[in-house]
Amino acid sequence: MITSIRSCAAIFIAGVALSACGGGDDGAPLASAPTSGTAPPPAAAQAKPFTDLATREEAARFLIQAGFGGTDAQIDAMVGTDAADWIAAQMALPATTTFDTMLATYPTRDDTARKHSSLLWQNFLTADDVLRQRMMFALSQIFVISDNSFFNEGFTTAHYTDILTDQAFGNYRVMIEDITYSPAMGQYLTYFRNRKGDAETGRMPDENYARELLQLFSIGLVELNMDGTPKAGEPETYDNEDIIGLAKVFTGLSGAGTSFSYHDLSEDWRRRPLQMFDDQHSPLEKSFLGTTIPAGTLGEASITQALDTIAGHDNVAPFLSRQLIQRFTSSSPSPDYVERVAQAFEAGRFEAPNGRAFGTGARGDFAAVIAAILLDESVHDDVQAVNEGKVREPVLKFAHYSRAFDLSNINVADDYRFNDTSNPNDRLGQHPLRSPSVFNYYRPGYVTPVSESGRAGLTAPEFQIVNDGSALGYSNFLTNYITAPADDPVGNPGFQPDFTRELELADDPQALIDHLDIKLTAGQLSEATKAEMVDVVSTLLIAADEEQTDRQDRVQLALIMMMSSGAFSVQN
Amino acid sequence: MAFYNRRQFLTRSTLGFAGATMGLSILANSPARAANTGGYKALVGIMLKGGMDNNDTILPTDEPSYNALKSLRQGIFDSHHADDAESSRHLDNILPLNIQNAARFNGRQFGVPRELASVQSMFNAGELAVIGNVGPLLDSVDRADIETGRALLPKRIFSHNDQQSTWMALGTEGTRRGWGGQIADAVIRSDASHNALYSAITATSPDVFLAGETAQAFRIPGMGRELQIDAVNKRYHLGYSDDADAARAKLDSFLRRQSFDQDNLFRQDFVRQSGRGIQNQIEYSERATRATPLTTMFPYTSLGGQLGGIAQAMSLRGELSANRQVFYAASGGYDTHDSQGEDISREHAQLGDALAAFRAAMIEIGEWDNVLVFTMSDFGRSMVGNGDGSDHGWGGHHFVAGGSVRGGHIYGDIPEIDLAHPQYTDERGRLIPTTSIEQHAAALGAWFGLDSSELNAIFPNLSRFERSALTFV
Repeated sequence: MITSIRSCAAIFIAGVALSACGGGDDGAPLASAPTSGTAPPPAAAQAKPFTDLATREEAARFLIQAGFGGTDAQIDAMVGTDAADWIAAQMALPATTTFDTMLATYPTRDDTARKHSSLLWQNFLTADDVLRQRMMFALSQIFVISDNSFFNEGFTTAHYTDILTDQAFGNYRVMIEDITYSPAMGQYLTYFRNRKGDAETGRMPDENYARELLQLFSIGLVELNMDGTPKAGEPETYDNEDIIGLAKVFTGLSGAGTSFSYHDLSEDWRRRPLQMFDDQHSPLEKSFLGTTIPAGTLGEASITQALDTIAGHDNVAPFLSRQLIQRFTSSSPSPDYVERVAQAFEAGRFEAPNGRAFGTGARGDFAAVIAAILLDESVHDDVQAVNEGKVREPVLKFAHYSRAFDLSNINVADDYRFNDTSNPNDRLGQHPLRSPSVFNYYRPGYVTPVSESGRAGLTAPEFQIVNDGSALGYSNFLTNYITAPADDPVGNPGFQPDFTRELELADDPQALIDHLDIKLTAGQLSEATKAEMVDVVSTLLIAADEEQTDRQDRVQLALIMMMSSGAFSVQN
Repeated sequence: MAFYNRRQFLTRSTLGFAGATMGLSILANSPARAANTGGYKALVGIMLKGGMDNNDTILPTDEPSYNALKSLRQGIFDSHHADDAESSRHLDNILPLNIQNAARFNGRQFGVPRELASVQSMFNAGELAVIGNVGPLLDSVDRADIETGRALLPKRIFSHNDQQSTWMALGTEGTRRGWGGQIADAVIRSDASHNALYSAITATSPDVFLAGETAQAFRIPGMGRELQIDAVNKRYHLGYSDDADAARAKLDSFLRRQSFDQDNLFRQDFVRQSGRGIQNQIEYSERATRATPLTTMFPYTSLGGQLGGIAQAMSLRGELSANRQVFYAASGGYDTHDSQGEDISREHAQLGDALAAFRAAMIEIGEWDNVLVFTMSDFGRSMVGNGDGSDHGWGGHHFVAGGSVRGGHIYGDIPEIDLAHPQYTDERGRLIPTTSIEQHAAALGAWFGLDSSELNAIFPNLSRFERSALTFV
């Protein structure tokens, strides 16, 4: 179990206590313990289910898939436990949110430029509720806004990501409504202060949100089978008439205030839900996706009916399930895997092999979906198929380094590199919440040109940013954090790694590499690669007068190789 | 208002220049043969991401058309403060294009906003052509064809990602080969001495445009950067002793390794890309930093930096053993659903300034006659505004520039500003293209030296159009 005093301290950002540690059960349980009704029959109970994390390798692998990897102690603590129990415990942890922290840390909106995404980075590196943070990051890459469009509006983006954090184990229908009324999405997809059409001037409602809501946030472009494959003939889910009809729904929304006008917005409208002003809402009939909202329907009722129609579409479960799988466990999931997760989305409930149940039973329950993704048989079997695995996005790789070596004294907001990690030439090529467009840094359907995975027809979204052009920048960025803080703790006090265990093993390169292999790749380096690493590390001699420095250099050298290896960069 | 039948129109629009067209004669007469790779030639594609508003780029300057457009998108003109005497959208301030084939527009005249002053000067100097209403097509279609369901239409017409992919690779997202990469493939196949590594070069993300069967995008680092592997080259990281040097040498070969001993396909791809990227970027950087720098200054913008990097790469063309190169740059910010006055003007200025610098750099290295720079974009945008912005469209207007361009002409068509015109889809006034991307791109490929069989292999629908290539070069 990951709970610890240290990681709990991480939420005391800028000296502000956000909540007490422990406890935090403030509502209906997200997951329930095995009961007599759902437990496996006694005979089956003798054998542990496949979600049992029997070895250090299995524990390390699960922490990489579901969290951000872990320390030796965290890996050890998971051995012999069931993955479903870890998920349930994670869901019970209090949510690490950002809005209150932003308010407490920054006196005015103008101080918040680029600071909110730094706080997201901080949470990925340090927060206790790792599964919720992973889910928030995953959702933020599907329901995309970018802080490139919100330079001085850290409160607005914090309000937005807290919706994703709050609903990480909540419900899709609830979340998409909260998103629709968020000032962040309203501004990002330009329906904030979108007016009804005007027959006299010919002005028509802005179509932006109508189109992207359908294409990216709910049903996609093509009718899908439950397993995520397109239906025969690839029928399109909507046409331009649907967009013109749906665009009328998203008219009349402005910031909270006394009128639609800019001048009448409340001072804090940027952090409150948008408000409907029916005098600017289209009174016309609105037809889309086979539904007609009658003429004269008011704004909020129109939005409710529209979101019910969209969220109720058969495509939603496979469309979102496939993308969520890609963010956690598989770059190119099999249709069967997608279908199993989509069924959990439809049922709103998932029962783990050990009998623990997830979800409320309401369709679109994310607790059920995430449990189905992480407890799927294909994730826990011993098969290492050539087409399995997930290319890890750079944010996850750095977070894994940070977690695995228990980095201390992390204050992201004070590190200029972390203000923007998106340059591939010398940083990571990715930054939380800073996608170049609503299409995220990469597309779920991306197939890598001139590649083995491409020839096999596999999608590999992350290769859109993890590629020839970013390899050197990534290596150099990592090298700086692996070496500088450890070499010069006074000059580089931030991001201090704890290499205690590694330094103990440094005199025995084979032991060092074996140890790091489990911690960073779940034991998946090939024997030949390990042998090469042992040879490189052994080449650095331990001099009698500089033992500690030389040991440290060996650890650093091993890590630089390890973190550029195929087994670290592609989890499986 | 009288309209040409679209098939008559397609014929007319090319006949005027047919007598003088190398492109056409190559397509019509040459026997199947390998690409002509003599001399140096470069194609430079600039992807304008988000969908550049054709209606706010090529502006009408005759009063009836100007007023007609303004009435359909008053909010957008207002966002440009068009009634202010200083506004770039005030009729008096639009920079006029001296159109050599003006006669076919029946008195309609066109200009560009002042942010595109370099476009105006190149056009009027005969170095830049406008290709009107170009976009993805599988066959010639108009609104009636669509409404009656008899039209064969490209897929997912109004979707950003799919139309970016369609512009660059003639297929929706997930398509694996772009026409830029396939043109480079043809050169690689035809010329054994050609250095494949440097035949397809991107200054930005490795989008599908440059992906071929053999060709793949090489990403040049930013201008003037000397690259190194810090862990290897910064000796203070691992110490100054002989054993540290020996370890660094081994680390260096580990990080550059492109082969992998495991079967997992993603891991194989990762190791190959990572090793190749580190190896090639450092090798390129060493050459670039040794070379004589260009004196032309590029604007300090994203696109300015990209075109500067491309110009620098071109200046190394002899050393890189690549006499046919396809380049790719991209610029975002064109998805102007709102605040269009501010946003498109900023993007146009970036484009116009970068093009001006690029032209100067090409003249500096003596290759302006051997370069074609051309724009691409997701789609054009709705003529009818939504307030202060515009929505996704289909056909749009584009530029091709270079010393050998038969410039000063508008090729293709720019339909009248009239929602009843059969080339608009619906009441929003989205253009149905009259020239296909394939016609447009095939003309670029023919100039580059590809023969008709090579072009027909890359552009499978060329034969559906009466004229398979445009005549702008």
